[in-house]
Amino acid sequence: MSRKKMHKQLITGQSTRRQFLTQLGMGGAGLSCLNLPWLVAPFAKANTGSDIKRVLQFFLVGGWDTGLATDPVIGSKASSQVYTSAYQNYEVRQVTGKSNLQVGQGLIPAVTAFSSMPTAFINGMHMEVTAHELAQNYMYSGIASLSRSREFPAFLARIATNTNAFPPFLAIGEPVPLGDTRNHPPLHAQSPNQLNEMLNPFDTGEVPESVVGIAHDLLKRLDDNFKATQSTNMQENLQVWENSASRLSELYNKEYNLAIDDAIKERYQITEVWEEYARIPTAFLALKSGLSPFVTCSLNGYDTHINHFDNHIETMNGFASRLNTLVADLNSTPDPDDQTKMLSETTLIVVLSEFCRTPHLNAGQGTDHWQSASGIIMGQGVADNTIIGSTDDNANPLGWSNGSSTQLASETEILPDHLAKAIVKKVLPSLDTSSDLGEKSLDEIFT
Amino acid sequence: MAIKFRELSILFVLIISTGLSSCSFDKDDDSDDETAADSDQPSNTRNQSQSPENTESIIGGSGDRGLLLAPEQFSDMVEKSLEIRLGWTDHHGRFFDLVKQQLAVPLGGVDFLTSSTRNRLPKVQTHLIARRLAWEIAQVIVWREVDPNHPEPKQIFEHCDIVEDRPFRTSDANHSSDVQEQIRAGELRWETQLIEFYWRLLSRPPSQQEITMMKEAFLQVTGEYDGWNPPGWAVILYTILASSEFWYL
Repeated sequence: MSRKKMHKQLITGQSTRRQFLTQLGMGGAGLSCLNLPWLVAPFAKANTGSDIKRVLQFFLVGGWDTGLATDPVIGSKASSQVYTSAYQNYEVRQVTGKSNLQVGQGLIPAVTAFSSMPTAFINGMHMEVTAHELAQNYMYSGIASLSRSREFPAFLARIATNTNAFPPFLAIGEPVPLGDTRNHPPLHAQSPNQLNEMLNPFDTGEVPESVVGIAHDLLKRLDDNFKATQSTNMQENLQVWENSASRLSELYNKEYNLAIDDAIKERYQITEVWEEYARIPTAFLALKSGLSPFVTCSLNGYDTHINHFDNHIETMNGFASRLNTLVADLNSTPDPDDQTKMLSETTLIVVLSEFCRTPHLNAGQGTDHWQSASGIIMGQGVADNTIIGSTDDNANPLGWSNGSSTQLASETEILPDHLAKAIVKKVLPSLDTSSDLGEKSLDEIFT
Repeated sequence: MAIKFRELSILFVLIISTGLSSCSFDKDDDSDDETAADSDQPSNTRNQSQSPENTESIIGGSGDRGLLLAPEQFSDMVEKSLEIRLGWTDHHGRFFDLVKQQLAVPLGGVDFLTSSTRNRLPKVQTHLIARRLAWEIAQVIVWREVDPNHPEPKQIFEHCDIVEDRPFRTSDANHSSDVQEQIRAGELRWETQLIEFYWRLLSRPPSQQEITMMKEAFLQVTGEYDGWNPPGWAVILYTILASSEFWYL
């Protein structure tokens, strides 16, 4: 029995909350909190100091196949003994209006998106570690580490916590490495439902504003009383609690509605709101509503060690088609902070995965992890119709120097560090990352 | 597969067996409504030597710095203190705890990827989820006491009538002395119930200041509902469940 059926059975025959609330005589007012006296600071907009005000990062968890994506198996690769001949069964398509960009079968549903926004591909990033967690942390943060006990912050977390954005950023799906940014943590939700319900805790109760205000005033007084009786050390702990709680009103007052309605379901081909793909329109709604200018959205299903092509193409197609819809929405939605611009003009889209797949198949007709990685960058200021980096006919990353491929060496390799640094420089020029991301930056991805 | 939180409030499984509903304190078996009505002081079923005024010695915190409740601990505490389980049971009879299954990661709890780097610092979503949970639980607790058609008998409002008993309002002085006496008696029962909740949830009695604060808030809330009392209790339970004292060990 599906969980959906199970819940319907359990609900049947019981009073609904609405009936109960009707008994209680609660009115139909929506959620809102009063401006409460402990509001510490007014809601602040993120100040990046650049034309890019927002970043939407998609992380395809598991390691995607660049042969089906940004680095299709064509030309000499096709006749290579290293790449499985199965790739020749699948289409490669030119992105309309972008002479340099070709995509494999997996990304074909997104060609319209690539056509409509400045787009660059990065291929042949050298990924030394191919263990999922370590590689994910490296790709997220731009800092390579073999330590499982020390965590370095995602570059997006670093950008976000150095702006005035509150909440700093939004992570939809899997947790994002935070490192020392954990004191300014993201708003994290595993599903769109969870996010919406967190932001509207009293919505189901239709509780009057006055009652919410009374409750929160009492809560504040209780917390103050408790803190006053505690030791100095404990008071420090409670101060953290108090600081984060004091800003809740900013979120409640905005009355964010990130519910996925039927129109969105139809546009994004979603049947149920608990589907993983529902995270994509949720990310769009978060940007549209101004909840946070920085959003990370993770999507699973790319670690196809078995039946690679059947599973991987379907998964990647699912993402690509919805990326198309998302870009169309960004193109037609004004930026909440600047109505003269569309979100597509102020948002940088970054698509990454921790590494890519082996060019050959294993015994289970699947693929395994490979020491190369690739990505997609889209948005204003991106070097359009550009591919940076490449792989050779053996699928190994090549070096990159002066705009062309060269022998791989420590001086010429493209690393996630370089990409992270370039993005940080572009989005938040004032943030100095030379101490941990080094000096080399993949600036070519931007004009 | 995420489940609508809204629906889950209806799915809370109530612990039927009193054997499972043991509280972490000893109850005074002599405490009853008549005893409370005859006494000038609220019936404090705890150690009588601990004055409600002396909250500094009562209010605790684990160690010097305190620890934020883990999601599992929150779930366990709610289960034991309010006799309510948060979750659902599948057709195989397996119980899935809501907090552990759905909310552990955002609450800084254990998840399979980061169990070694468990972060208990309160986050924005800690409060968002905590308040959401607190409100849901408060609603359900009050609902099951009030709903005449509820399949389970009254669970934890043992000391007062959730609908009738309330603190004395200023305007009650206009009533006859008999009526005022009845209201006062109900107020004492109300206070006893409040003290019960404090023991259940915070392992201490409320201070006189807290009792006063709670009374004021209760009357303000019920005033918004034309004197209907249950919403007042929902707010009281909500504030205790969302308070830092509850969430810190």
